[in-house]
Amino acid sequence: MSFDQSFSEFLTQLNKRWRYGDIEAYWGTNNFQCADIPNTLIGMNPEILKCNPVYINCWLSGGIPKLDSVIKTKNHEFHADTKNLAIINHGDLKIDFIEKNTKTEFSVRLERNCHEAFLPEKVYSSGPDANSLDVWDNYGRKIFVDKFYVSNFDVKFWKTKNFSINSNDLKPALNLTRPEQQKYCHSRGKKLLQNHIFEASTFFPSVYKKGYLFKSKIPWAKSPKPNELTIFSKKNCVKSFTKECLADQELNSYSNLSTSWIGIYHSLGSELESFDNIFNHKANLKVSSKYTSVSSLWNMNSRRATWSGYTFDRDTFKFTEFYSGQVEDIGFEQLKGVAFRCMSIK
Amino acid sequence: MHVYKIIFLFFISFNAYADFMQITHKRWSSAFDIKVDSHFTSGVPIKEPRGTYQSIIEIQYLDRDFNIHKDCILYRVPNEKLQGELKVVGVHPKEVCREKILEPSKIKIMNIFNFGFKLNGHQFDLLIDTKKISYTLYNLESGETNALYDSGETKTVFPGIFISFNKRINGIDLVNGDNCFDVDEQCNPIQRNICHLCPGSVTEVIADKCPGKYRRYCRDSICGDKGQAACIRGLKASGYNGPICIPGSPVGFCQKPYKVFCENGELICR
Repeated sequence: MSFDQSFSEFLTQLNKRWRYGDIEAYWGTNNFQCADIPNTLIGMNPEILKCNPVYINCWLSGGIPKLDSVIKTKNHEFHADTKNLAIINHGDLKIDFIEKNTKTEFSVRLERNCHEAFLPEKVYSSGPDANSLDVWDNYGRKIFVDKFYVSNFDVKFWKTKNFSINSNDLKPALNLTRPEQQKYCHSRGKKLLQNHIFEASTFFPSVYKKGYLFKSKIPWAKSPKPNELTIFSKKNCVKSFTKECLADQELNSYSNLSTSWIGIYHSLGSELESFDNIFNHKANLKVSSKYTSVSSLWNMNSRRATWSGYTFDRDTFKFTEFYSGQVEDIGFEQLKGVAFRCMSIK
Repeated sequence: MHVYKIIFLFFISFNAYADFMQITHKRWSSAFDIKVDSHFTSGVPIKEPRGTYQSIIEIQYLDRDFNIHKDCILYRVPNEKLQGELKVVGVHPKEVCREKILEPSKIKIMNIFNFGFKLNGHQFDLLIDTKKISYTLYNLESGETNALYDSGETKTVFPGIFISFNKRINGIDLVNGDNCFDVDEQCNPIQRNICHLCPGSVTEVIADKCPGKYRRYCRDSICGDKGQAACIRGLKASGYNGPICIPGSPVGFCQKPYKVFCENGELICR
């Protein structure tokens, strides 16, 4: 086997481990001995181990006994220099390797983008109105949306580059102001998710015809079933994680809740979510969440409130629905913060 | 004595060839951008203009810290008096290769009669007389994203992975404001997409050259604000067919109270 063939095989193995993470489901068993990743975590979800430098560090340092920390092909052995792992531009991971037999030294940069969904090229419109004048299209543009909220792990890793995961890390990051949220997204080569992109990602898909684009009230169907938005049913918690669901499930960033048609999560319910809005900058807060009831006016697509974004004080939130003018407060005292996610242009 | 001279010259030439291969393989395996001068075509031997140095290809690559470097591939086309000579000159990434044709270089092959190159996707070949040197350009983006199931990794040979065998030397990074993707009037890329090397995020700008394909800059700002790029409404959404870069162009829009203007061939908000 030539070096080039071995090199290809090495990259395939490395890429698979980076992109798919703990495919053998060793996490939580005796086969997983990573000092920096506890073996028992509340709400542990293997999704966090995909594109995760801490997991890769553990593997290449020999923390998973059943997985060889040296990447071997028929004639070559690729050894990582785990003492010099580095986080570079966009939060990507840089690893130095040496091939033992040929003494070839090289570096690999792994892009951290395992959790993104592509927004198909179509005509969309902003706001709840089927006849909205705020029409736009993304033909010729490659827009990707984060599938999950930015987690505590993401923010902690951004700030400290600390190669460890703890029990709080799977939860959404809720304590960043909007300028900080923007700054985080920029550091990852992205932008804070814009409201019209979130709407395009979460409205049930429809075709634009003669100034008309059907707008569904919910992400998972063209229209809700009778009583679906008035009477709580436990089985609907996967569609919209509302106040009534809290007793049943601990919420974390990587939960597969409220999937949209393009495959992003937390389309409705879960946490309050912050956006930039280029059509109406005040319509920048999704309120539907674990703080609102299933029958709340907020628990529908495109219902938006206003958050100044500079602090978390009561007067920085205005719970007046931007498009209808209706008012419905939430239990503000219980509010722990505002989640966010990013989008990127490739 | 004559035989020894021939053997000696062969040995020198073989060494130069081997050195050339070794050095350029290390560098160009990590190439992320390659620009062929518009006078030359992949697969066609370069025969003219005879007796002059030509800048054939600009190639940008990464070192092991993933900083940017640039090489110029220069060729002196042989004539009756002068031998063909292929040389590689390392320049600052912002420098233009055409201005470097007389720079000396140690990375060179002399006594060439025929020279050409082939560029096909990630594969790059130099064709020197009867020999071929092949390179896999691991970091070159080549391929489109258009499927619902596609993820956001850069379409390198191994998507989302960049590689460098090159030693660590002082290179540069892209900075905010750098153009990282552009097209010409025929909508062909004149700047390959290198936006994944931006320090932060990317902003798309509506330019007048190719409706429907957008110029991109390394830039963190939000569109539609005063002095910023107009937001993109798009051609289909606007149903507009006229000239793109005009005041009030319906292809773009601004946040209130700003309006769309055309400045330097781009739509911006004032």
